[in-house]
Amino acid sequence: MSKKNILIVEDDQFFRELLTKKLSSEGFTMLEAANGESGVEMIKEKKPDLILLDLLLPGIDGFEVLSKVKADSNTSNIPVIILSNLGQQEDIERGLKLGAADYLIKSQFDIDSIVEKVRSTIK
Amino acid sequence: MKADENQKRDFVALAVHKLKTPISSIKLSLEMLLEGDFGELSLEERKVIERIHQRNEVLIYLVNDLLNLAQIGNKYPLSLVPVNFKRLVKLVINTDEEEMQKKAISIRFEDKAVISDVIADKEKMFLAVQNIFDNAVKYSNVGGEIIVVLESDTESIRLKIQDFGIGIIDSDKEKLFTEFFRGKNAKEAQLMGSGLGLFIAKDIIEKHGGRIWFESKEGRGTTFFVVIPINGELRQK
Repeated sequence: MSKKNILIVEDDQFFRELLTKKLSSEGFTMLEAANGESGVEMIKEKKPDLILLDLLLPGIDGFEVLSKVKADSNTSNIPVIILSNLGQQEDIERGLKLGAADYLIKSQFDIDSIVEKVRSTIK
Repeated sequence: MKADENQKRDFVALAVHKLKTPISSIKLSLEMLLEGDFGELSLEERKVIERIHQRNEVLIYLVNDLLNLAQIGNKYPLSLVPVNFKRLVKLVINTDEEEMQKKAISIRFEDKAVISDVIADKEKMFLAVQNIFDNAVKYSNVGGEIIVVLESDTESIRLKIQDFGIGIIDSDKEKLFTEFFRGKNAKEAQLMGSGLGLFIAKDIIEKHGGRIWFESKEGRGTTFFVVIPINGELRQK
């Protein structure tokens, strides 16, 4: 079975690199985007098996990226896990309503839980 | 005046939120270091990193407190659902288990409540009870005891959290629920805190139509009493 591709859309370079390293070592092929626009382009072009999406991004934000992914029939079935520090009930509800498979608050989840969520969502 | 105050709070919320970005990266990197993702660690290295990780968790806790505070000023909405209050209290106790073990604090949980559900904002109520219970743990002496009593009648659920720690000096009692206030003996004992926990707890409990008060004697300990109406009589300010 070929390796699954994960796209991480995250503007914090350090966070992005850490997660890329971790998930690569867990057997995934990682793609990276540092802002919303390039994230949307890569999603269209590469059609990843899963998207890890930050919400506060330069340019178009994560909510908009999510809306675009879900509005396009070519990408609408790609699962999106929001990984953000926004943790208000309204943000969570908005994200899930827009079609996110899950919503993880960065500072409240340890690395193992994040990997576990990725595994259970991607299969 | 009010608009200025709200602008200031929005700014604080944004600034505090920005603090979360580096803290989250630090958390992730430390966890990966501890898992051996960057190679084997010596025993000493592991110990140091574990300590940094613990301190960083405290930072996350403080930043969340500050953010909650900033949002409280902006009339946060309550998201009301039936909440099993018994389970919530037990969960709060569980989250402090590690800290209690470190200080060899024993816990007695007397569950006398017949009714366990209240209509509440689960996250906010958890935060309120957690802030009170965290204080009981923080201000208990090593080897101390904490007694948690849950009771109910047809109208309300009553929670009592009693510790036998440093207590509150008389002249501090009046200001205890004030924003950023910290007790004199708490500061002297160099116990870390933001002075926001009880302010936030009171605000949340009162928004649920509840009440909070305490009895305390310096050097003998403190007891907090919380009453929450079962039907969630709300008082949105």
